[in-house]
Amino acid sequence: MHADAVLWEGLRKGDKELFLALYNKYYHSLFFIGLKEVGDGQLVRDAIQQLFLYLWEKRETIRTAVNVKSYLITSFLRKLSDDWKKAERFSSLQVVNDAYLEDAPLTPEESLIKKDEDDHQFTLLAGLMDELPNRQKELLVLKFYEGLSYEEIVQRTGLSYRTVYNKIYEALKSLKLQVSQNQPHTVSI
Amino acid sequence: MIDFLTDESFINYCKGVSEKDTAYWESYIHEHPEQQELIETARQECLLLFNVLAESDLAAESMRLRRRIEAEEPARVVAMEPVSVESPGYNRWFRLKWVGVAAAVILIVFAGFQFYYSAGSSNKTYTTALGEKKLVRLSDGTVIHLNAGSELRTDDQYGISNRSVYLRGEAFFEVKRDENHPFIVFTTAMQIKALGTSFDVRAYDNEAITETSLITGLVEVVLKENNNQVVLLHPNHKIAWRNMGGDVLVSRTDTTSRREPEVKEERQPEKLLVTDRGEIKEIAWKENRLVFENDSFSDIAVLLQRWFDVKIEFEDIDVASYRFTGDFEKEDLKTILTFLKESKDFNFSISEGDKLVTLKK
Repeated sequence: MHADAVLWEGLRKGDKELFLALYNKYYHSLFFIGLKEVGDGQLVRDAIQQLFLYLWEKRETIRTAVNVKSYLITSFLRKLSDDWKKAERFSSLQVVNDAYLEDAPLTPEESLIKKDEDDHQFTLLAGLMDELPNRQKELLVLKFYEGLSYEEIVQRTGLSYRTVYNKIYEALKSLKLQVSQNQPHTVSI
Repeated sequence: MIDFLTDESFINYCKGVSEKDTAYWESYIHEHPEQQELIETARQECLLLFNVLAESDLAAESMRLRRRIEAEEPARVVAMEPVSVESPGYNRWFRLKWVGVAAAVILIVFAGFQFYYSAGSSNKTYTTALGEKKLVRLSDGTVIHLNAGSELRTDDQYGISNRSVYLRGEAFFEVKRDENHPFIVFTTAMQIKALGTSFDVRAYDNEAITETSLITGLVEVVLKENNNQVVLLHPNHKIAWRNMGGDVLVSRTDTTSRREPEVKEERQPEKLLVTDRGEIKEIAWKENRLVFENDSFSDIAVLLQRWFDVKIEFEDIDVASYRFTGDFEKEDLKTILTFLKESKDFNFSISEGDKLVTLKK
């Protein structure tokens, strides 16, 4: 993974791949910080996209950043706050959250992310995940990734509590079932 | 195992996001040592699931960003009077997208289009062949994206005493602001007046539907064939007009609904169609994207013929009435048809040197 300074210079010079690498590097940091602030994954995703589109548009005029991560987080929270107000879900959002800016500690979720692309189980599960019906996968995303409670998922999707629970159960069951079929020699510790 | 994974408190414990749940499960394990191994396996499963979902979200979002910045690169566009990426017009379009897209207008024009040609000498005509797009920059800084199979002519006095252009086909306009000289687009059925704004006008001779997508600002549309009704369009709205006597390219397949006489009544603007991806269908062509939203195959065929410079024939009328929803970017014709074939039952063959496409059951 490249150093921030390299990625930032890449952005300034219009190197698309380095720019996307910068995005990939900080996506989850921004995502989980944003999720904690506003609780709406889609709003957060859009705000991150817009922040980076803005950076790309302004690449020729942006300055050298001293602390790339702090800069990204500050700009992102400002953007998110604007979006949030527009969405009129809250009258305002306290965004000048200094806690993020000093050493920018990892969010609990972010620290769970392991980059291990050779992991056989990971690849297998990712493949099975793609075969799930969209609705089931969407619910897994809300539950396990975004960390919504069942009650919140019910409110978000308009499905009944029973349906949400059953669909998640079914999804887990079919993932698990197929894992054991495809991988009879699993060694679990 | 699944019983653990569907437990809210257990998920919180796995992810370490709740001190209360962590304390609960640690004490639970302490009290049930025989389940320790099972619980640890479930915890690993939970984390693996989280990681797979996190990676999949990142991959999808990263691809979305890539597509959006690559869409800014003028692929397949031939610049007649080159516009550099740094030009104000280009940047403004980008900024508009960043703001999040605002508005559109839909006009409906039909065949029988009589283009007004003056004998003047200083006018310029820009044309695009089928399968071709062009970017044109006029003397006042207005930038025009001309879609395939279109023709745009400037008035003799353009940039002198007026800013009038005549369009058949489809174009996206980024109008340079000049309050003293309104920018006017003339088509058969409508005329669109703007000060400084961006919008799309679609007025193909062979099409039932002509669309104009206004991105920002305000435009005034005059419906010539509706007692010159004046419609003011606001962001995110469009207006539609359907002329009489229009000929749909694949007319034999779809005539019933199109030939009803137009009732002259006040026209009201309607909301723009924004896709799940937050993009406006009406201007997707500008980014080399084809977007279908429950469109009939006969309408789609008209579009495909223009994009790929082919002739499309339906051997079965039923096939022409199939409806599709989909989103394609920089795909070739065969890929698109193969993809559509996945969702509805039809076959296609491409012959005559890739110029004739036949669709049948």
